[in-house]
Amino acid sequence: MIDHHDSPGDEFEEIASLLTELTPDDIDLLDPPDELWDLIEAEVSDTPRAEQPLAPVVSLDARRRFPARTLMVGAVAAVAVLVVGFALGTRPAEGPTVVASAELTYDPANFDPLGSDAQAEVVLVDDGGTLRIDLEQSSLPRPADEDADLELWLIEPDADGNPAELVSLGLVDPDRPGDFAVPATTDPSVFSVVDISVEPRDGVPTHSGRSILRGSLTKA
Amino acid sequence: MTLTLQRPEPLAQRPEPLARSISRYAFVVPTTGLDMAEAAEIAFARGDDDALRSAYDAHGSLIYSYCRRSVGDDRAKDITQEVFVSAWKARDRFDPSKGRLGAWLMGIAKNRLVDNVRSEKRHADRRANDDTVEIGVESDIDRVGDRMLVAEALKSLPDNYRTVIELAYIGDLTHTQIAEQTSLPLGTVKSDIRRGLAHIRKQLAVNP
Repeated sequence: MIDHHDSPGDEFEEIASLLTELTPDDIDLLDPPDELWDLIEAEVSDTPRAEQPLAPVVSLDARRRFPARTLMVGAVAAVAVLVVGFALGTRPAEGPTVVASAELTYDPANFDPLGSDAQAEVVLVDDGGTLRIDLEQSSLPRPADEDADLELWLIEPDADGNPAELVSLGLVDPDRPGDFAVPATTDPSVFSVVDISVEPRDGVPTHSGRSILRGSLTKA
Repeated sequence: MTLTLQRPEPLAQRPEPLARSISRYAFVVPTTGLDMAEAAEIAFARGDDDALRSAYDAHGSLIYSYCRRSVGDDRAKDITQEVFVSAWKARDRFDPSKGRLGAWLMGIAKNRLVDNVRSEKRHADRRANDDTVEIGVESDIDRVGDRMLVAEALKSLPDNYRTVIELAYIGDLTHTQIAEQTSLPLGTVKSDIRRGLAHIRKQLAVNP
């Protein structure tokens, strides 16, 4: 149908095809119920807002085009900024030291709605040369589906902010988040984004693409 | 503003394009409306008082209507509420320089609706013989959302662009037929269509 109109070019092909498909239902909108605004207003006045989210993510649509392993987690644009030179060589000999931290936040446009009220902060701790992630001050949901778990990941963003590589740090018990060892082969200045996802118990070890929280490590 | 899907009436009953063609060379795209919308979106990202209300006034019908297309009345109300509340809580993530608020909110709604469908499916799987359950399809949810955004963008276009785009894509006329109907030069029809499509595309942009 579109070629019928001397098409203005491929760059508008998608929009042109949507335009030709429009139905009256797409155009004529319904008024929301009168009480809806009051409900929204009441809810936002009760809820403190999440602070400073960090890592933006790629859209769900883009994510679907790629296999889980490479893209599922979405882009982590701007993470390039995050040149976190964890000065591991100069660590003090005594006790565990916090070398970086991240606030994990929810992205309503791209994440699984399970995370909508979730919050967490993580710190990267250097304990005598062994690194671990401590999940602290977290408020994590329990997956509604009893056949699913939460899982903690470290993500290496590529130059465009897309996940280049992922490492699982293990399953997270929402009630007892705890500590997670970072494998000696994983450099957190490279794997600089922390992600928590919902993982169905389906035997598939890769990221499900259903993140609930994410944030970038920044040097302490 | 109402759009119609019927084939456009013949020129005799459509005096506007003619009237506009006289003054069209002095016509500057009225950006005021868009600028005001953008200012409201910046206020939203900043968390200004009343910015959520403005966003709801501007996009509440769109979001609610979209939800109603995919789920029942009650769920549509709940999901619309969730969309605005979660968008407000996460407004730091909205970057007005990179995308439009309507498209961002629709993305949130899409996410919620897809999740709703998935959970309905899980329930349906558990009662396998219940064939009375009507379940939307995820790809339909996507496509309907895209179409509704395009329709909104079309409504917001300056009249001269909107007219030629409606004639071309809804009226299914060729550029030559549009030129004849509107008494505009063919080159103007072509360039107005391109510019109109570019406006629409801008309205569809979302945060990266």
